[in-house]
Amino acid sequence: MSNVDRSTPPPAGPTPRIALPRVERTRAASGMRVAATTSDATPELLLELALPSGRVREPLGREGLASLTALMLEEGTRKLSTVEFVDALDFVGAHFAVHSDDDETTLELRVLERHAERALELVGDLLLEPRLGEHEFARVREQRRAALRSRSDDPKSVVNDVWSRLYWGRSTALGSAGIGDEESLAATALDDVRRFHAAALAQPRAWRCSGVCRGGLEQLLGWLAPLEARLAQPAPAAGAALRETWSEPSPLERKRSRIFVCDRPGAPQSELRVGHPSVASSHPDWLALSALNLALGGVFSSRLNLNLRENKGYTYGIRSSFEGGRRPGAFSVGTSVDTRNSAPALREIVRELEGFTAGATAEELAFVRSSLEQALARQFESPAARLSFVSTIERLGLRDDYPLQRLAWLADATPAASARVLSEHLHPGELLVVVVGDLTAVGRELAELGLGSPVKVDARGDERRG
Amino acid sequence: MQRLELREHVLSNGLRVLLHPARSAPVVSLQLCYHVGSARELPGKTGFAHLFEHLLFQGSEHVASDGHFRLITQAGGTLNGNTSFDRTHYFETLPANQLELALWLESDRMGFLLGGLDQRKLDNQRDVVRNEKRQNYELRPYAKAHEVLAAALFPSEHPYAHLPIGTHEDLISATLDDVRAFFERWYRPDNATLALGGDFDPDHALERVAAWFGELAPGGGFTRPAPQPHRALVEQRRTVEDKVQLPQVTLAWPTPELGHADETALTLLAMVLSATRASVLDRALTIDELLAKNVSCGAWHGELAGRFVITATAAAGVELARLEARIRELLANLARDGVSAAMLERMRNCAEAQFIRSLDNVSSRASALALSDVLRGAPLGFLSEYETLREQTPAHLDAVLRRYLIDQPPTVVSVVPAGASAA
Repeated sequence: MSNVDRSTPPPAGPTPRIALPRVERTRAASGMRVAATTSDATPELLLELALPSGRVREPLGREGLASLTALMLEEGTRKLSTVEFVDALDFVGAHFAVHSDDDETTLELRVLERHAERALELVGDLLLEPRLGEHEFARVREQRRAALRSRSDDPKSVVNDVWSRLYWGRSTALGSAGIGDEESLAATALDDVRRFHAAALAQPRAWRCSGVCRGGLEQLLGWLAPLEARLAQPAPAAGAALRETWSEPSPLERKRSRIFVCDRPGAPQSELRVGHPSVASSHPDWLALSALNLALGGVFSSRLNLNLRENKGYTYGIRSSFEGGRRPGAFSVGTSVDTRNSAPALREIVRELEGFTAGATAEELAFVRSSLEQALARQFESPAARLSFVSTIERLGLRDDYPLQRLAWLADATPAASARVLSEHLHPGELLVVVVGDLTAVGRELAELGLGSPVKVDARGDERRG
Repeated sequence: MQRLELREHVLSNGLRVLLHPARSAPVVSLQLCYHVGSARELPGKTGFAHLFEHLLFQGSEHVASDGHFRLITQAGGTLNGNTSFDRTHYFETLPANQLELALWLESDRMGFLLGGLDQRKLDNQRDVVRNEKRQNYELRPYAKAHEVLAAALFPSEHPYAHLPIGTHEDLISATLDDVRAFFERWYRPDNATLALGGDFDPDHALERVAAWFGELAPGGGFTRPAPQPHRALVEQRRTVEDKVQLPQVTLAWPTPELGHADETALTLLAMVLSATRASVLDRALTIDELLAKNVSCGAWHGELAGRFVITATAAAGVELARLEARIRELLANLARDGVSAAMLERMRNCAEAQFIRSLDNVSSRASALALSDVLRGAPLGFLSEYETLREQTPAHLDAVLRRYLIDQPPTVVSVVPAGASAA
C-alpha cells in the first residue's frame, strides 16, 4: 500500500522568510562609489571595480578600443611583466579578469580573505600603473587580428554582430562588433589605449566598486584603504574625459518589419534574432516587462519554448528578453533552428508575439508571480549571486528592493493591465529580423513571410551589393 | 575547508540517500544520479542515455507532460539534467518549503515514467536532441573534433569511444520499445543515489524520502563496472575539415580512471601546462613565441578511464605541424627540466581556492556528494581532490608527465579549414 498520494502535486510547507541582501554604500574619499553586502558562505572577498570606459565611449573609427584596453590592462604593471603579474596572483590563488561591455571596463577579483590585501595591492598596481607597453601592444594587436579573422567562424557571433549593426547603425561604436574590425584595429595606436585608460582614471567619481565579504562594507573599505591612499596622491597625467557616442537605435525610425539574411551555405541550422528597440532599465515599465517576459520566452515553460521546442521540435531552445540597460535596450527573441524549419519558426515567433500583445492570461500571471516570489528564497545564497545583486543595482540605478517592487506590480496585475503594458511595448509589426543561415535553402520561403523582401548582408551586417 | 555534514542511508529497495543539512539559506537541493551513461549504451543505440534524459522531462503517469519544468519554476526553483559517459544526473533546487514537490516529481519519473510516455513525445524530443547536436557539435567551430577524438583515442569496443550525444542515424532508429527497455533496465532505485542538501531536518527528510521512494521496485543485479584503462601503443592521427579560418590541433592521451593514485598529479599537471597565462604552454605559445591564438589543457577522469587533452589553435600564418612540434618539444623540455617547486605551489594554491569556490552553495555540495557516491563509490570521495593536493611533489608531476605524455604516443586530431586537408 502506498503511503503517499501521487495523484496531485503535494502542498508546499510554510513559505520561508525572505530577506534581500542588505546593501550598504558610501562614497570613498577618492569619489569612488562603494557598495557591499555580506556573505558567510566562504571566507572570501569578491569584488568588481568598474570604470566608465565602455564601448559607448569609443571614438568612431576606434571601435574595439574598450576591449583592446581591457586586454592591455592584463599585460602587467610598471614593476611586473605580464607573466610575473599572473604568477603573483596565482601564488595567492586569486581569480582575476578584466572585461569591458557597452558601459564599463570591469576589474573582477575573487580571492580568499587571507590573501585579499596582497591581491588588491596587485590590482591597484594594474589599475594605476599599468605597463601598457609597445612590446605588449604589438602582441595583443596580433592576437586581436587572429580573433577578427576567426570571428565569422561562429554563427552565434555573426548574428550578434549583424544585429548590433542593424540595431544601432554606424554612427556609434555600439553598432560594431565588440572587438571592432580590421580597419579600426589598424587605426588604433597604443596612445589611443593610454588615453582611453587615462580618461577613465581621471574620474574616480564615476568608478563603482561592488563587493561581498563576511564583514560587509566596513571590511571592504579596510581592504580598499591602500588604494584610496594612492588615489589621494596627485595623478601623474590626468586624461581628458571621453564622450559617449550613442544615439537612439536606428530601427525606431522604421514602422514596418524588415528581414536581413547573412548567407552561410550548407549550414545545418539558422541562427535567428527577432526584435525591436525597447526601454532602458530606468523606464517605469521595465520591471513589469521583465516579469511578463517570463511567460513569453524567459523560462523553459514559456509560450515560445513550449511551442517551438516542446511542440514543434524546431530547436534545442528559444528565449526572449527585454534587455534594459542604461540605454533603450532591445526586446529580442533568439534561437537556432534546423534549416528546413527556418521560415516556419519565424512564422511561429511572429504569431506568438502577436498573441502576447493581447496580454498574459490569469494563469500565466499567477505563474510569474509565484515563480518570482518563491525564487527569492534561493537567489541570494552564493557569494557570486549576492555580488550580482549589488552590482546590478549599482550598474542600473535600481532600488535596493527592486525585486519587491516588481512583485508589488504583479500583485495587482490583471490580464487587461498586462495587455496595456504589452501593447505599448511589443510591436510585432515593426520587427528587425536577422537570419544567419543557408540562403539558397531558405531564401524563397523567407520572402513569403510578409516581413519584406530579404536583404542580403555580410557578417558585419553591411548590405551586400550585387 | 569546513567539514561537510553528511548522513548516509540505504533504503530497503537499494536507493542510496545522502543528507547534507545546511542552514545557510532557506533552500533545498535534490540531486538524483543514475548510474547509467553513454558508456552503457549498446552498439547501434548511441545517444540513448541522453535522449532518455530528455524524455524524463516529458511527464510521467501522475505528472503532466510540461509538469516538471512548470511546477518547479512556479515554485521558484531551478532544474536541469545532464548526461555523461558514466551517469545521468537530474537536479532541482527550490525554496526549502518545496521538498515534497521535488520528491513527488523525482519519484514519479523513477517509478511511473512509462505511464506517461508515447510516440509523439519520443518523436519530438528526438528532433530536439538532433537540433542540440547540430547546435553544439556541428555549427560550433571546431566541435566536430570531439567525436573524432573519442573514436581515435579509445579502441572501437571501448565504452568511451563514442560521445553521449550519439549519431543522427542511431537517434533516428530509436523506438518506444528501446526506450521502455532502457528504463526497465537502468532506472531503478538500486542503481541511483539521491542527495539532499539544504535547510531541512534530516530525520524528517529521510522519512519523506522513504515514503516517496521506498515502494519502488528494485532492479537487482547492478554491479560497479571495472575500470578499463587503455594504453596507446601507436600514434593515431586524424584530420577533420571545418568552416574555420585558423587550424587547430588536439593532442590527447588515455590516462587512468577516477580515484587512481595519479589523479591529483594529472590534474595539477594540466594546470601547470595551461591554467593561466603564466602556465608553461600559454606562456611559450601565446606570449613568448606567438605560435598559438589560444591553448587549453584538461585532465578528465571517468570511472572507466581518463584522458589528458591539449588543444591549441594556430596563430595566423603558423603551420599546424610547427605548432604541434613545438608543443611536443615543450612537453619534452618540461620532462627534462622538471616542474619547479614554485610553479607547483602556485597551482596548488589556485586549485585549493577553486575547490573552496566550487562548494559555495548547497546545490554544488549535494551534487558533488551524489556524483562522488555513484562514480567513486563514496560520497566524500571527491574530497580527496582537495586533501591530496598538499601531498604532491614536483617529482610526482614529473613522473606522470613521463608516464602518460612522454612514454605513450599521443592521439592527434587536426581541424583544418574546409578544402585545406588535401594540401
